[in-house]
Amino acid sequence: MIQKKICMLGAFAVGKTSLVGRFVRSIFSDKYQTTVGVKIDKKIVSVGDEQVNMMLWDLHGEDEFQKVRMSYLRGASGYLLVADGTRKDTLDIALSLHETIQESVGTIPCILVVNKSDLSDDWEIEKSELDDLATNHWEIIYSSAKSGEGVEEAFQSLARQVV
Amino acid sequence: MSDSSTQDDSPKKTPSDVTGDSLDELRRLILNREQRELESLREDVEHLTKRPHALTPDEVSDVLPDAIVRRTGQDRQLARALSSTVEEAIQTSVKKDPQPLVDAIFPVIGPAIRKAISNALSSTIQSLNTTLEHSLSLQGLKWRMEAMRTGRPFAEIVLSHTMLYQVDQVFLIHKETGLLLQDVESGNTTVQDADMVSGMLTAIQDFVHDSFTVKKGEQLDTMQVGDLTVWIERGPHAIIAAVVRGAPNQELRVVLQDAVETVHLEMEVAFQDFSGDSGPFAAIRPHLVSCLQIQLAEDEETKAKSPAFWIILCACVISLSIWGFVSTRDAWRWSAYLDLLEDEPGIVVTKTGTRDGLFYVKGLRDPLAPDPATLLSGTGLLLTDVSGEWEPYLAFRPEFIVQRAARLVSLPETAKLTYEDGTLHLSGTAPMIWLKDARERVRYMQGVAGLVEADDFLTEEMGRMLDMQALVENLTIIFPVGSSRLNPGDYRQIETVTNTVRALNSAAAAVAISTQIEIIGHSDSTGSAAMNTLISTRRAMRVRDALVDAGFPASEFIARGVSATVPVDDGSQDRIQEASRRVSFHVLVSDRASDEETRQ
Ligand SMILES: Nc1nc2c(ncn2[C@@H]2O[C@H](COP(=O)(O)OP(=O)(O)O)[C@@H](O)[C@H]2O)c(=O)[nH]1
Ligand SMILES: [Mg+2]
Repeated sequence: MIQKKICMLGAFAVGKTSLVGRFVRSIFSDKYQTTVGVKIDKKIVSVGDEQVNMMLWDLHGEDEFQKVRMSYLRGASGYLLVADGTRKDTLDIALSLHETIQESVGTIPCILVVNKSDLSDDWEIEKSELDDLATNHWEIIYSSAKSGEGVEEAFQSLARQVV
Repeated sequence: MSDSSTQDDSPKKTPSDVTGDSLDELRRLILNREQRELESLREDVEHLTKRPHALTPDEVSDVLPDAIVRRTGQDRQLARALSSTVEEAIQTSVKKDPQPLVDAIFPVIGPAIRKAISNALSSTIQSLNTTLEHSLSLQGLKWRMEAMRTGRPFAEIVLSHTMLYQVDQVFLIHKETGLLLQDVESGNTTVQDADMVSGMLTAIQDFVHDSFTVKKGEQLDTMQVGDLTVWIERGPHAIIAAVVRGAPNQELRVVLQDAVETVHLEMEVAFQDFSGDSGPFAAIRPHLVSCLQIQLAEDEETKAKSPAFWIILCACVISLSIWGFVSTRDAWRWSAYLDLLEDEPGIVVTKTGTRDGLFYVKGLRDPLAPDPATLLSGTGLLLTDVSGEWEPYLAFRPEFIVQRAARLVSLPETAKLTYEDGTLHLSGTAPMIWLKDARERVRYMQGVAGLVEADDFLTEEMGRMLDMQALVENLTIIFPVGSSRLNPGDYRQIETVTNTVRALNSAAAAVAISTQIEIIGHSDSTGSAAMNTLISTRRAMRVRDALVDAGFPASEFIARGVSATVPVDDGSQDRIQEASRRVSFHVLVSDRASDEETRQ
């Protein structure tokens, strides 16, 4: 079976861990999360008639967007860039993270996930801004780790791109 | 063979010679090339006839590389042949000038020496560490004693006890991605999700590398959790991580290093092409399996045992047997006690066992049953050996129903209850009013259909009535010979009769019975029968009159004479005759209700 390393990136509290939790049910390396600052989960998905074992690296830490450890990105086949639809600054952080990664790791498949779509009342990120990105070949998926909307779709879509 | 040389040797020239010269000239012109070739062939042939097997250096240089390659492939002959020459050459070279050789092997020799030294040092330090660690502990003291006893060095003893380890699991992990390439396990799997562990191991190494200031090339190579150690050996593309239980020694390091090197050697291409598919790496599983090593500690059996060991062993055996005896005895007593409980009516045992070092029994107990604790006496168990938990319940055994009923109705001492076929049976005597109340009360008792009087039961009132009847019937009034007159002193007797009859009447009234009293006159057997009948009848009537005078209604009495037909038989003839001159009483009894019926 093919294995792929996938990273979860984004500002703190945007819902990276929640998205992974929603996507997989495994709770293995919980105890490492505070000491090491990364939690690894896995889920096997089907792409066509191929099975892909997605190793999901979820980076922890309060200010992870500031000093994301580039070493964790080494060997990644793709990443989910997560923003919180109710906090406009999280999109800016996501985009600047993207730039940093491109500089250090190069261009690898990536999807922009705008999370917390269930909180439409507190929505801050303008649709027009996302539309602009979409026209610039960004793949954008609205998701909610709470309701489950778009979660499967986001991971599946990335899986298709990395195989 | 050569014509020209023979012709050149001719002594004089003739015209034909001239012709001969020009012919030569012509021949030379036409056959120049062939002639030269012939010349060279001739030289070759001469050379060959002189040294038939020789090759020119040129020829050898042409075939040499090829020949070496071929021969090396076939056997080790060439190496054997060359070795002494090469050795000699090196010796000569070193003698002449060592520098070129030193320069040549310098890059190899440095790391090799360093590696050897570091391996030797680290195993020494390892054993030193264990020795120090154990020298002050209780374990250490024991080992020190062992060292003294066996005469072996303490460090060796420590080592023999600590070198026990087993490799449980071995991972081959892709260095860059942290993805699992292969893993093998010994059967006692320590880690469940190998691919996640693989990622975590990589992340941990990255973390350590990023977080601490380490020199280039230094990496995390040991992790320890309790009894588990993870040893990591790395190569350019992959690392091997071994999960080890116990205390691994340096030999294992070498095994792991070998495995990493072999894997890299065999999988170079697969590493270059790796993009997430671990399939090709199945081929190197045998190398990982070879890392699943077990190292056992020295066999305990073979060691000589000290006297202290035997003393301790004996003490253990003795205390074990005492303990065994005591616990068997207690278990035996306990089961006897349980049998007692089981046999006891009103006690039901539902659970037994031991709890907090005590025997434990749980069950149901009728409040009328004896206290289970009192049953302990005689079993040999103490109150403190046993903990009991008893729930109250009502037992429906006859003796308990009877006891409960007796309490409920306050059974008088004169009466007795038995239980049969769902009914309480009353015998003995008791007041009527009590009986009425008791009947009421038992109606509400579980398992009791009612209270019935047994054949031998009498109410107290009826008993008194019967007593009075007997008293009345025991009375006699004696008359003088041939007289039906009562003497003045006889009125005392009449008074007794009056009182007794009065008491009879009231006792009879209490039980709703009406009585009539037959007053029977008797005579002795002397004299005529007619006279005797007359006199006996008169005697009866005299007593009846006296009673009526005392206030009783005449209807209560029937007076009749029976002459001497009912003799008294008690003693001498005289006494009989006197006793026969008497009046006796007989009480006739009838239900008051039926009495009234007949009157109507
Ligand atoms: N309503 C809502 N809350 C979410 C959603 N995803 C995450 N959260 C909440 O956001 C907070 C941060 O989530 P977490 O997954 O820890 O964020 P992380 O720091 O990016 O890993 C938590 O309180 C989550 O419960 C979502 O889709 N909807
Ligand atoms: Mg998180």
